[in-house]
Amino acid sequence: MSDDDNDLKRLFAESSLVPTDDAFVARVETAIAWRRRQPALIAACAIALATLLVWATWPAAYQLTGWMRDGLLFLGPFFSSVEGHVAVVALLATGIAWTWLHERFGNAYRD
Amino acid sequence: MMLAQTGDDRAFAELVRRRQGSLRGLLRRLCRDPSLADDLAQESFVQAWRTLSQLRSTGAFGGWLKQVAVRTWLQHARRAKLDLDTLDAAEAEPLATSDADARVDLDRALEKLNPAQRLCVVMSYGEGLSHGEIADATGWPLGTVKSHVARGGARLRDWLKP
Repeated sequence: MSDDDNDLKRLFAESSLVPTDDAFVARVETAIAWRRRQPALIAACAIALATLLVWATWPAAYQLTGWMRDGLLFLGPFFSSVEGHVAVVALLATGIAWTWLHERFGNAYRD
Repeated sequence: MMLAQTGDDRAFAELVRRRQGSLRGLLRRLCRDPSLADDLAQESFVQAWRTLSQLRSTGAFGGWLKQVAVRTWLQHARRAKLDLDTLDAAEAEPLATSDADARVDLDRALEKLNPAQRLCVVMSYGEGLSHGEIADATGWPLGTVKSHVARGGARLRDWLKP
């Protein structure tokens, strides 16, 4: 260690430390108390928000559930009838045809 | 220290009382803004409180706390987009006219250093950390730390030359 280095260290050592301040300690204690409460506060906010969401959307959610149930009740007999079978075969045929046509002629639309 | 590790808030408050002077002083030298330095010191103590259980040796608390403070300052520097990579191109101009001015001028001279050099110089000359310890605290390569300490120290000496 050179004399120059020691001079610099001496300069740093001579410059004053920040005096002890009880207000700063209190500030840190407050911040820690806040951090300690944070998980409970976040959980409470999440529960409140979820409750509010359920309350606000309950009529729509209830109606949607009813529609879905009615739809399933309607579609069940339809797909077990002759018309339903024809519709499924038509859909499958359309899908197969579309895929084949796309593979066969799809490149014509590319640059 | 052991009480604080078990979650005793009063014991941790006593640690804060004992260590606040050096930690706030370190951060004031790095920040050049007392108010910001106190905010970062508070953040460092809260971070230390959260991770205190990870500290293996109670005797290493002082050095570990400095590392926490350095990481907090580095996070702030990245958020504030401080230029940590390039070297300052300031001309070496003498600041001090006598030994009595040197202390005041040390602060002014530190202000003129590039933030990365300032950090390394303060940690090395002010806090007495080895180059390896500074590299551990900052996550920078050892060669970079050595270079920052050498160049920053040389600039300070030039500027503070009476």
